[in-house]
Formats: sequence, structure tokens, C-alpha cells
Amino acid sequence: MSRGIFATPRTGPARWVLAVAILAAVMGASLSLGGVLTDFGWWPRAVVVVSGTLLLPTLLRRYPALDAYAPLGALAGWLLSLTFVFFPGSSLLGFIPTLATVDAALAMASEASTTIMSSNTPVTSTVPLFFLVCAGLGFVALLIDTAAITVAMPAASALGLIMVMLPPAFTTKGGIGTMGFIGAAAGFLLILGCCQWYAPEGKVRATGVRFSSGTLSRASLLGAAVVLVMAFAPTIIPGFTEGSFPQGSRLDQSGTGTRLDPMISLGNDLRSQSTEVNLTYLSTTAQPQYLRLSTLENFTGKSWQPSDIPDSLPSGTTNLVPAAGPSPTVTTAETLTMVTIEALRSEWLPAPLSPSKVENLSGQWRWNPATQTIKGRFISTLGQSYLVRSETPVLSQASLEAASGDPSGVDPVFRQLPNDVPALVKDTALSVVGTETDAFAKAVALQNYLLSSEFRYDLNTPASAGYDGSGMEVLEAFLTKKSGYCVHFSAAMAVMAREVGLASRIAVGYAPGTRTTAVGEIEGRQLRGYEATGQDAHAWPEIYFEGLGWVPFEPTPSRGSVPDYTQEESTSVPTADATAGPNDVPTATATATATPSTAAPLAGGEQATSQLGPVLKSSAIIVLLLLLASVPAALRLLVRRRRLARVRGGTGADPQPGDDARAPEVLAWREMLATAADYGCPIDPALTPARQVAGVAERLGGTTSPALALLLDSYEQRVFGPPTPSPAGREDLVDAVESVTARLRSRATTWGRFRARALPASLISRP
Amino acid sequence: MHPQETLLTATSAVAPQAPQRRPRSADARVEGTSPMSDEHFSALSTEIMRVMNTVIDGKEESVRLALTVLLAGGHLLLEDVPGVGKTLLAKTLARTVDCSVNRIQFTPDLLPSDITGVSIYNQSSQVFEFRPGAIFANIVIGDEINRASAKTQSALLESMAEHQVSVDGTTYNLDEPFMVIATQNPVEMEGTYPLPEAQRDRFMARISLGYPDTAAELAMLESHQSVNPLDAVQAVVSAAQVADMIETVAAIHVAPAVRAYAVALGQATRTSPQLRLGASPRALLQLLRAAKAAAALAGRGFVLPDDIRDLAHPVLAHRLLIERSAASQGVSADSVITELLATVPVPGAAPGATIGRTPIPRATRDSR
Repeated sequence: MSRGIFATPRTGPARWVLAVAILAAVMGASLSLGGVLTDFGWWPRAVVVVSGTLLLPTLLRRYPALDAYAPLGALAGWLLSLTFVFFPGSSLLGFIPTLATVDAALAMASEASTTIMSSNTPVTSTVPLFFLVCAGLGFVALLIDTAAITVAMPAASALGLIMVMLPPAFTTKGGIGTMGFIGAAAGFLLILGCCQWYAPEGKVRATGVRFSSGTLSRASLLGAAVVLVMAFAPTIIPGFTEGSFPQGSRLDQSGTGTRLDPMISLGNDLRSQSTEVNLTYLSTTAQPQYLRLSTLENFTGKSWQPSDIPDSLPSGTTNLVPAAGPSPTVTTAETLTMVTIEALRSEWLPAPLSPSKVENLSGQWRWNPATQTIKGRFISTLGQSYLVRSETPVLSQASLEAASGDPSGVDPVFRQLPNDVPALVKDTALSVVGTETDAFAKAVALQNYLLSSEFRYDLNTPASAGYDGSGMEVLEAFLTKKSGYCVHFSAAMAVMAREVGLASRIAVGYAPGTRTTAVGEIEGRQLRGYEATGQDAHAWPEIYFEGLGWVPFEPTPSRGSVPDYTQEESTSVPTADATAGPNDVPTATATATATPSTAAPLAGGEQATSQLGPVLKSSAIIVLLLLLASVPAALRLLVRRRRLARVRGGTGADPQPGDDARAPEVLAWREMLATAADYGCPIDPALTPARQVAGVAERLGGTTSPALALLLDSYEQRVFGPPTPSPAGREDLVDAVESVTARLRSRATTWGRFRARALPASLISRP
Repeated sequence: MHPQETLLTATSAVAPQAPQRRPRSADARVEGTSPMSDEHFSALSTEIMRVMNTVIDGKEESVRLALTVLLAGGHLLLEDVPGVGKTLLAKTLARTVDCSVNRIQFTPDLLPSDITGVSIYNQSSQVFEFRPGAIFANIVIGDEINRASAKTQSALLESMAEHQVSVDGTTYNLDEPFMVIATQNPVEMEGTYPLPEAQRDRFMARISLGYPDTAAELAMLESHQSVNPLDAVQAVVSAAQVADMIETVAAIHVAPAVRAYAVALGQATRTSPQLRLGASPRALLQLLRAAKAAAALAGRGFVLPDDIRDLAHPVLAHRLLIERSAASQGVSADSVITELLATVPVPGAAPGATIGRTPIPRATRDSR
């Protein structure tokens, strides 16, 4: 029985070539993941996992009887190599998975999914993510191996490669990217070609493959051409590699602030430029009303996160008292805000700062005094309509200047900074604050620095430049590029405020929005209507002042409105004015122009980007084009030099007596024919050598030159004559080839000479 | 009226004595074990062609082809309208070689025994004696072969293919070299019996002389006016020398690539949709032998694809049968061969590359 299975083993290289082709295709397609993770640290591990996955089926295919078990082998190889790379500790012998390995893998996967949910691309490289990526790539290799070889449908391997490209297409702004696309396309062609040559009709060849002359060069040229076309397809067809998905968007758009990092979803909301009305509200205030959803105060260095909510909070939304709120001596003004949620599904309740009571809410809502946020239990905001009473402290510059910024009264989470604050952030904060010692002056200085004309509001730059998010590296990049949106401005101000000794947090919610015609009346007070759309999603910093509580600031240019108390001082006004118009105009105008004003800086940003970026881009494209255009010439030159070197016998490889194809005479002949083909003398395989020489001679003016005759005679003697031992080298043949080339060149037109160099026809036709 | 005409006095084979009965293996090749040198071969062949060209004006190609067939050990079929010198070419070739020559004028009443010979009862010795027919000669000229009945034509079959004659259960070997040069008028002419396919296949090559060009015709009118140019022809080579030359030709090297080319051509004729009958393996064998002779005549020690290519028309054309539908569109065997030569790739240095990759010839093109 075993004799039957192990009889007639395949000895040829076919199965190894196929495995290497699949490995190359998967790893090529995985280049597209470059935008998903911050670096390529996962790559070596992925190579190991994919190779391991492909190793077992390749070994099994040695025996044709075991072909059907190749997918099982691939599965085993996948599990073993994943264990080997990621869980050697909990496994037997370092690669056999145990129950502990399964637990570890599940833990790692859940850790990875948490990371994914809490960060935008590019995601920081961590081992759990490596695990996820490697497992995915290994599984894709398994699928391709099964589809291309076991099921004999090599074209179906495209599905596997597309699976690799889906994450970048869905999650990154850059999309798959040209590199990844070329990698995947080249890999796909490689699989198709190798399957065609080494496993025709689904049967892996038992022995080696003999290519007919020129097959390889023709195939590679065709492949290069296809990849070239595909590489330029994106420039011709917009959205080809960037996908039809909104840039940087995610599939799961529901549940703003529930599953994803609030910062990330905020950016996504803003970028989607949604004009859908999320909520409307009626307010008694004459001032623009910011509606807060949640706050972010737990800064880990990688991202801003909401602090953990204590479970012991009681339900109920009456008698709301903030922790570390304003002292009772501060005068407050009661504001009534009637909020109607139109289309917002969130577990955080939009409310102005310092709410004291929320009425008409359905469901269980819990007040978190530390952050002054209201969070629902098993209930979302959708369809809610409620009245918020808030006791807003009346703030003035004088009272703020008098207040101390001592953060000792608040939870340490509001003032903690990671140890590794980049020097740039630290230095910027210190230089902006300068010699100011007063807490409020420091805060205003920071706000005005960010509002200054140095910074530009741009929704797209961070995502496209790869620093979207709110981590420390992102801040560093933001302070360098000085372009971003509210997330970056607020995070920068919050971090720098902590750096100069203030307590800070980021409030996430809605900018005032647009004034509507709706009016209302509650308890004898007039209410004015506003509506907030997806574009009004906003984030802003709040800074703690002892005795006054948390005071909002507005460092984002052209969004929201800069609080009155920060701009009464004459020095700050011009700065604020210089950035954008609507900062200090009355509420109605400010809100009315809010929407168009978001578009204008965008356009401006585009223009600014076009000053430098496109120059680099276009020059890079030109360089790339030139490089690609010179590929045929380089290939041809390489072929020619190799051939002539062999004719000279300089390679040291002894030609075998029976191996005519490598004899110097044959190579010289082929090189002469190839040169003739380059200069427009077509190679007809149905012509005898003598007739081909006649054709070349005709092009050279009708007479057969001694060089041509020598080439022809030696070729005929070698190929058709009685076998003789090959000479080591034929210098005279090299001279003959050079002579023929020179004559062809001298008789060609300028265009012909150019074509012979740049687009050698011999790369396509049989040389 | 006797159909047999003796041209030369050296007609020992037709003498009424008992024919030589030599075993085939021990024929006269023994002295030719050392093939002649290239120079000698070249000198002899050049001389033969020179002499023939003095008789036949402006037909160097046909002369060369006739000599090629002789040296390849094949038989030649000359086909053309009357009066263009078919018989003259045959006789000239025969005369340049110092050997026995018989000429048979084929007529409808010619009998097979006239060709092969017949056993006659000798009254004096009281035994049957074999009297050899006209076929017992080194060179046999069959004039107007398609005028004889199919039965008589078939009498040539065995002798042409196997160089032997079987009469009354006895097999008689023919002298070497042995060559049949037959002439025939195109089959459209009145009163002819077209050669059967089997017989056509035994002729190595068919030559159509065609009309001479103006200059050659003028020269011919002048030279043939008064004297018969044949009278001036003296034998240039002996039969033994021809046998040596044939042996030299057999030693010509044929590379695998050339064999592959011949096979590719043959297979292409078999798969061509325009042909009812393609080239037989014997046709390819004869093509290769003719190519060897052509290479030797060119002073080359090995066969080139060009030799195959040049000989494809004369060697293959008369063996191919055109499909009726193609023939009605004006396709001829020659046009098919031309098309195949233009499509079948010539194998080069890498034999694996093109063997067996015979392309299917292009579909029938309307030649009008």
C-alpha cells in the first residue's frame, strides 16, 4: 500500500517553483499593508508564517497520491508556523500548539481587535497586530495554494490577493498604494505563469520544464508591461487604487463614540463631509453653544482615551454637580437647551458644559461628575428629545486671570503625561508660554499660538501624511507640518497645557452649528434654534482653573468660536482675526458662516499642498516613468552583454559538446538576429538561416558582408554540421556581430536607432 | 515494332546469357569502401553538369536536380508538355555516365513482360531460360510513361523500389546504380493513363522543364540546327564512380534539427486542410536523401534546411493530392507547399524549441 503511494515521486522543481510563486505573490500583495501598520516589522515574521504554510503541501506533493491532502498540510503548516513564530513558550517543542497556545492566541487576537478599534491607520506596530497580519497572510497563502494547485484554478488566487488588499482599501487614506498594487499584480501574473508552465491542466509536472527559447524573456516582458499599465491605471482612472470607499473610512460607521476611538470617528465624521443634520437644539444663550458628548483625558502617549467610568455611579440626571466645579461664590447664569436628536446614535448624551438637570430623558443615564458627561446604560441618544438646564459660570478675563491653574484639586488623570514627551512638543510649549507665569495667560498663549496663521485647518493632510490620530508621534508630526483639524489642535493644546503645569482634557461633541429659523419659548424665555450636522463634530480642550472649574478654549482655526474671555485682550485679537473671519462676529453670523468656512480653508489647503507636494510627486512620477521606459533598453543591453560574453567565452562556463544552444556560434547568431530585429528586420521563424541572412543583407544594401557570411557559416556548421567540440570562445564572431551592428546602425534612421535602443523588438519576437 | 531500343553498345545486361544473380549484400560496393574525396566528387559532378549544360540550354536548375536525383539513388519523373526537351535531358544524363542504358517507349500495348523479362524454353538445353527485360540496365528511360496501361506501369513498381525483379518466383537483382528516368505528358492530354499514386510515390522528384527563355531558345535553335548535340557527348564518369558518388552522398551528415524540419514539413502536409493526401514517410525519406545529394553537390558535408526547402517542391509536389474544394479555388500542390514553407518554423539550435510545434497552416486563401 505504502509502496503504491510512494511510488513515482515527482522529482522536478515544479512544486517548489509554484510554492515560491505563491510566497512571492502573497508577500507582494502584503506590501499594500504598508499603510495599515506604521512599519514593516511584521514582514519577516509573515515570510516565515507563509513559507511554513506552503512548506507542508509542497512536501506532500512529492507523491501524486497525496495531492488531495495538500490543503490539510497547508492548514497544519499554518498552525505550526504561527505557533512557532508567536507562541513558542506555550507550545510543545516550540511549534506544536497546546491548549495554552490556543488561550494565548485568543487573548492576543482580542488584544489586537481592541487596538484596531481604538486607533486609526496606520496602527502602531505591536505583536498582537503582527499576529493578526501573519495569520491572515498565512491563511491567504493556504487559500491560494488550494485554489491554484489543488483545485487547478490559478485565476481564483486573485481572490486571495484581493483579501490581502481589502484592509488597506477600507481603512487607509492612501488605499492599496502603487507598491502594493504592483506587488499583487506581479504576484498574480507570476502564479498564472508558473501554473501554466509547471502545472498545466492542474497536474504538477513530474520533471523539469524546458522552456522554448525566449519564453522567459517574453513572459517577463509581458508581465512588466501589464504591471506597468496597472501602475499607471490609477493616474488615469481616479480612485483605482484608492478605492471607492471614503478615504480613511471604516465599514462600521454606526455607533459614533461607542466602539471606535472617539477621536478617530470624529475625524471620519468630519472627512465624510456629511451634511445630514445630527441634532437640532433651541437655546436661550446668546453665545454659541458647544454641546459635549464625552471627554478624553487619559493620555497614554499613543492615544487619548476616555477614563474608566466607575461602576458605582448612580442613575439619574437631576441635581447634577460636577467634581472640581466652580466655587459657589462664582456667579452663574442658567441656560436652557432643548436638544432634539435627529440622527445620532451614541451612548453619550450631547449637553452643554455644567449641566445641572436633564429632563424628558428616556432610559437610564448616569452622570459622571469627574468629566461632566452623561452616559446611557443600554440606551442610545437616537430619537431622544430633552431639556438641559445648565448653570454656566459667568467668566471674564479678570476672573480667569485671578484664578489659579493649580491642578492638584483634580484627578491625576487630567494632568498626567507619558514620560517620553518628544522634545519638540516640550520645547514648543515652553517657548510659546515664554515668561508667562499666570495660568490663564499660559492657556491663552497656547491657544493663540495654535490659532496663528502658522497653522492651517486641513481635514485631509494628516490622514494622507499618515499622522492621523492623537498619539505623541502624531502631535510631533502635527507641530512640524502645522496642518490638521480639531483633533490635532485640541490634543496639541491639551498636551502642551499639561506640559506647562495645567490640568486639561479634550471635550468631544458638536460645535455650535448653524442658526435656524426655529424659535421657542420655555418658562417665559426665548429660545433660538440651531442645527448641527456631521461636519460640526468637533473637539476642543478644557483647562481647569481652581474656583472656576473647567474652562473651554478654542485653538482650532476657523471652527467654532473663540471664547470671548480669551480675546478681550488687544494682543490676541489680531492673531485670531488673521486666521479666520467668523471668530468674533455675533453668534448668528458665526454659525451661519460656519459651514462655508469649512470648505474655504479646505480649498486653500489644497492649493498650499500643491505648492510643494505635486512638484515632488510629478518629478517622482517622471523619474519613475523614465526608469520604466528604460527597462526594455536595460534588459536588451543585459541580454546582449551576456550573450557576447559567452561568445567570448569569458563566463568560464564550459559549453557542453551536445549543448548547441549555448555554443558561441549559436549565441553570436542569435545576437545578430536580435540586433537585426531591433533595427526593423523582422525575424521569420519559417526562414532558413541563409534566407534570414539574405534579409539582413538586403537591409544592409544587398551584399552579404564577410561578417554576415562568417556568422552564417559558423552557425550552420555548429547547428547542422557534424558535432564537434565547442570552442571556448570566438572573438572573431564577437567582432562580426559588432560589425553587423555598426552597419545596421549606420543605415538606420534616427528614429530607427532610437527604437532599437529604447524599444528593442527582439525582446518580444523570438531572438 | 519493338519498344526496346539500345542506345549504347555496352548492353551486357540484355545479352541473352544468364543474368547476374548476386546477393544484394555483396553488390559492387565493395571497392567503394573508401568514399572519394570531396575534390574528386566536386570535380566529377561539376563536369557532369557542364557537359549536360552544353546540350540543354538554359536549364541549369533542372540539370542540377536531375543529377541530384541520380546521386541520391532515386528515380526521376520529367513532366511537361511535348517538345521542351524531356527526353533530351534524360538521354543526356544517361550518356554522361558510362553505363548500360535502356530506353522503353511506353505505348498502350506494352506488356509487363516487355519490361521485366520473360522465361523462354530453350529447346537445346531443355530448360526455361530467363530473358531479361528492358529494366535490366543502369539507367532506364521510360518515355511517355503515362501512355502505357496501369498494369504495365505497375511492372516498374518492384524494380524501382527494391532494385530487383521477380519473374516466375525467381528474384533477379538489378545493377547498381539503377535509375529510372520517366517522362510523361501532363494528364490532361489525350490518350494517357495517369500514374497511380503508389507509382508516383516511387519517383524521388518530378521536374517540369518549362519553356526556355528567349536567349536559351535562340541558342538552342542555332546549335541544334545542323547536328545532334548528343553526338558530341562523351561519358564523363563510370558506373563505379557513380556508385562511389552515391556512397559519398549517403555519408553526408544530417543534423537532428534538419530531420526535425523535414518531419515538421511532412506533418504539416498531413494536417493541411487543403490536402487530401499528404507526404508519406517514404516521401520524407527521399526528401532527406535528395537533400543530402544537394548538399554534396554544393560541396558541403552536411545538410542545411535550405536544401530541404529547395527540394520540397520537386520532391513533394507530385505526391500530394489536393482536396477537391481547394482545387476548385485554384489551389495547387505547389502553392500549398509554398504556403507551408512560409509557415513551418525552421528548427534552430535548441531542438526542443520547435519540434512538434508545427503550426496549423493558415486557412485556405482565395487565390483569385
